[in-house]
Amino acid sequence: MNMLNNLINIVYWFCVDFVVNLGNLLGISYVETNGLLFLILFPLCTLVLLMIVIFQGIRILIRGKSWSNNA
Amino acid sequence: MKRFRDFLILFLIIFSTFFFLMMTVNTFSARPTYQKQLSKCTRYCENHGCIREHIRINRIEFLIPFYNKMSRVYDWNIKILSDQKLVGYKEINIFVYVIIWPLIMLILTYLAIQQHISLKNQRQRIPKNEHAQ
Repeated sequence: MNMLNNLINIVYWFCVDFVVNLGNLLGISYVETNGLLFLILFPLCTLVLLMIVIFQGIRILIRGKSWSNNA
Repeated sequence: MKRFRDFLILFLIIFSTFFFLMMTVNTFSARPTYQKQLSKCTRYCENHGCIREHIRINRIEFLIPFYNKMSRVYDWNIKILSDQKLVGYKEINIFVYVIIWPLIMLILTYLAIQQHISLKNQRQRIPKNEHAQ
């Protein structure tokens, strides 16, 4: 359990350091970088991927149907 | 089995890319400190929140309302994650933002690639069928 806690601590501070350093590199604050990453970029990427999957799924369904109709 | 192998390869590619990016940024930056600094953010900002001098977005007039909304959602997010009684804030943060959400994005990426391949295969099969007729 102690080892797991240590691992969680290491991963957590590694990620925090990344966000802090990225913010310093971009010239924005930690809070802004956090918001940009986890409140804008993450949901946006998920939404775009979800739309692609739905759109392609519909295309596959339509093509499958038109093929079975032709056959 | 082939699908699982493809998924694993995609996971390794994306994971190693992001890990390498994070390692590079952390390696070429200053050593982490808990002390408050006026010029840049440190681990202090994680524990106590950023000080006024750090916030850049507030200097751009038209972005101020956007920042206010974003910080409200940000505070709400922190409150929800810290209100958990079973596990601590760090654990739930890692679980949501390092494991679950990236995993969902990875699955969606895998699905999108698989669908793209199957669409491409369908397109290639059309001329063959027409030729056969």
